[in-house]
Amino acid sequence: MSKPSDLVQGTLDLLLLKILALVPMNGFAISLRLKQISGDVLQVSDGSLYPALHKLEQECWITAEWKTTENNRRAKFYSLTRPGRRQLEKEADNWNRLATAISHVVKIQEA
Amino acid sequence: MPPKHWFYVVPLRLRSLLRWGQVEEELDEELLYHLEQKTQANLAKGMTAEEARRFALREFGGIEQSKEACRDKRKASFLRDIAQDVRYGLRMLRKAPGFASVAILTLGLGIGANTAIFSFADVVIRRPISLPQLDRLVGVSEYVPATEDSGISAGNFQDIQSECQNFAELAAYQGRNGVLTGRAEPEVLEGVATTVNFFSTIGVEPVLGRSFLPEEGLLGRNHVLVLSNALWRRLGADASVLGRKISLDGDEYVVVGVMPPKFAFPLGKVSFWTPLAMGAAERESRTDLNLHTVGLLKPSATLEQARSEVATVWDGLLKEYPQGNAGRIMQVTSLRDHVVLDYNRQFALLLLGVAGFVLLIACANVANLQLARAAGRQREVAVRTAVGASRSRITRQFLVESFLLASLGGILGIFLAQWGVHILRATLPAQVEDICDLNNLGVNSAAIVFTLLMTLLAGLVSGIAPAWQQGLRDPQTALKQGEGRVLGSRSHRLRSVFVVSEVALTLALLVGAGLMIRSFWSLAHADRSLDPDALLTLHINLPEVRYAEPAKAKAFSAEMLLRLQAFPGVQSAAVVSGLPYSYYDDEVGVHVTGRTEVNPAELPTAMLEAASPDYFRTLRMTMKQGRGFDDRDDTGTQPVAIVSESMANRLWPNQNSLGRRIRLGGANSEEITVVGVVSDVRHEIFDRVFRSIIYRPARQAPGLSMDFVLRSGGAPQELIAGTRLALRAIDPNVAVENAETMTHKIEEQTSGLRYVASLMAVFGTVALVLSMIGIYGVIAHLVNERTQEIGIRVVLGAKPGNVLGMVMKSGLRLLASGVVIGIAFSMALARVISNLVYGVSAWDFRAFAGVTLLLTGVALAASYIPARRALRVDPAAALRCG
Repeated sequence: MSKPSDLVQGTLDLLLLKILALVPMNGFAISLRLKQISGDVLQVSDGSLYPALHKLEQECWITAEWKTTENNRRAKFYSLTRPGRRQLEKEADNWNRLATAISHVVKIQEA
Repeated sequence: MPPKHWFYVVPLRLRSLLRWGQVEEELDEELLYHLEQKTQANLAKGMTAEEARRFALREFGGIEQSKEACRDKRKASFLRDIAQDVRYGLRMLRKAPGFASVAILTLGLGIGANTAIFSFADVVIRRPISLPQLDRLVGVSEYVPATEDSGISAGNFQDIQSECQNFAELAAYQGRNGVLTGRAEPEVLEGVATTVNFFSTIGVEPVLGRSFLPEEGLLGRNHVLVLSNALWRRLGADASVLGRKISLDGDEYVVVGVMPPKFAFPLGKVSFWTPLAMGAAERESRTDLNLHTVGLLKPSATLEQARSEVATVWDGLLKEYPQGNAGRIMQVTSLRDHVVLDYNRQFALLLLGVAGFVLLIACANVANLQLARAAGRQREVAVRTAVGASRSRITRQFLVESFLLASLGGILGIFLAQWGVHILRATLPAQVEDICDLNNLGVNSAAIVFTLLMTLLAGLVSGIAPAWQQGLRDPQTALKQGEGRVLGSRSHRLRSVFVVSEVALTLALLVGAGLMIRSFWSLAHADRSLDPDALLTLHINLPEVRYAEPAKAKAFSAEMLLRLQAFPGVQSAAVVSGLPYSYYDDEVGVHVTGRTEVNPAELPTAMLEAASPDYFRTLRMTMKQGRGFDDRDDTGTQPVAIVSESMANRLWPNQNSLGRRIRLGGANSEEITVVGVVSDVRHEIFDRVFRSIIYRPARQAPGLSMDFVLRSGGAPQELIAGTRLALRAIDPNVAVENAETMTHKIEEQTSGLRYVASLMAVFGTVALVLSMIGIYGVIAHLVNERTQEIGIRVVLGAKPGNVLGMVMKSGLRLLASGVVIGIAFSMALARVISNLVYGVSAWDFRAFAGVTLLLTGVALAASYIPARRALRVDPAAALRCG
């Protein structure tokens, strides 16, 4: 099974939550958006996107709903739940702390 | 999951559990949608339809793996997967009916044996009696450490009854047998004399009629009786029995009640209950431990509170009556512990442990079967792994299959246990029947729970190794290899470990059984010189009312002896107060004249026997010093006694015992002169040392309870009918009890031990067969695997002997390791047994050697069969296979 090996562990969750915080989306759209916002830096195979989404759903951070798309096809749309929003805040905080800490370390080394 | 999520969680979980099909469809649809969109996008980039689709698929990665990963994320999928595993497992078992049936039967036997023994142990230990308030019932007793006597004196009982506040009721009882007359043949019935509050204490009332009235505890008013249900049925099961008179010991008793069916307390075959009425002297006694108690604690009271309260009262009694009470301990125990002897509990636990061994052996066998089968399933496992099953999933699959086998085995086990309990009950010796209420024996809910636990244990023990091993295997190599060709050395080692443990456990079991059989055998056959086959014994209990005068009892026994001696073929006949092996026990304190008065607790004690002149000759005892009894020793002449050799050595080591004077019981009793020393005799089968015994002439010390014994030249059983006639001629209202040979008496005492020994032998045999199958399986599998190698060896010139030796050697290696571990194991078990059973030595070379030989023979046979197959290997065919 392909894994998001280049992705810092746990970051995928944060990214997905953030993307869905803006607007409910289906899986295909999420995969496009991921590529679009991260360029080729973050490589998430489509095969591992869905297990990640299902995991978030099972954690009750996102919820799924079947809707018709603009081209009249049924698709599964994910949206953020209230616990999901809290989780996003928490993970974003964590990320910021981590990023700050790491950039500090990097700076110290340069100096 | 934090509870605040329940709003989302509950519907989600329910959905993935209950609407699995829909969830699966949605997963398909979701991924399909993705691929379609991707394809569309690729088309838009200008690819051909074919290309667009292929690129979309490639970019996605493995679809099945992705799906499986999604499924794994569903929390409820666990249950679902188990269900799937179970279905799959059942299918696999159906495909291998031979394997499945052997495994299920093996586990069924193991589990069934455990359930049966558990049901038995449960009755012996936990529910020996069925009384409604058993948990609140206690027994209060005085214990004399010096003589191991226990019971309570009437005086102490009454003081504790009136002074202790923690008892709602405290009742006393004593065994009293009675001769039922007025029917075709006088018959001795076991009965109990109880204080009038007995039935309200134990909480069981008659189903018919009433229990005793307070005034019926007075002398003269006490001729009423309550019948057991069984006796009532034998007397005609007539409700009009109430108020009818029954003749007991020549007295009339009015029937006032009938107890419910199956009620038996105290244990044994109690046929009737009468009120206990005591005379003034008896009521004041502080010495005779002739009563037993049963007390009902108040609902608010605990056993501890009752204990400390009784202890306080006892302190006072010790100060007030030091003469009778010194050297005694007052005990309060729960009735359950009061009834369950430590001995019985340990035997029950021993059997339970033995059954556990058998189950472990069964598990080892099934584990081996599964390991062998797993070798043939590598391809299947590899395919499953390739389509997305994770290692843990494969491991789980194997565990589930093992639990399936165990569950089916457990179900079979419950049926087998029911059958086993039936057999246990049918073969139970009468002695064991007296230790517990067998009406409670059966596979009950506790046994079912126990079976469930055993089943889980069996599933785990037999499945953990095969499952763990499957999880370790690399699917890639498995796929490349041919079906069941190569197994890692780990598997061999595992299988060998199982067989070695089987052999070790079997050895321990067989040694245990061997030790028990040998000890029971030596106990039962120790008294060759006694020639017990030629001895006929009868017990007669004269009713107190009509034989209160010693002269009457004396006349009775003289008359009876005369008649017995006249029987054809009788070499000698004698009477004694208690024969060896008759559970007779009458200890007295011995005051030696001229010796300073010691603390009453340290007074030497001895068993008192009143014997007629021919007693020693009849039992083939020899006079060591002095003279035997003769007809001169009577009421008018000097009081004399003969002491046993051990007693003489204890009282007067290296000194002359003849002419010594002793007093028995109180210091003021009559002085008795020792006129002889007689050889020792083992009194009870489990005695570790010879008892001190003082013999008195029967004419100087007549009693009401007497054992007649006669040595016959012919078959002693043929005289039984004659003895009854003789007795009837003397007194038609007295019954003969226990007319039997001495051999029978001895066998009766060993019957419990023999029973446990034969159960252990049965378990040992089962274990032996199981480990034989185990060894056979491993060797046969080895030969299968090494067919090619053997072929090459044969081509290169190996002789049949070499091949045979090579295969047999693997078998013997397993055996040797098993035996070494097993001997260490059995020594530990032997220690347990030797503490439990007298006559078992922890290191009995013959038992160890015999069992090892037996096991070696079986192992050789089990390896020989597959070894023969190795000889028949056709080298050409074997090489082609490779």
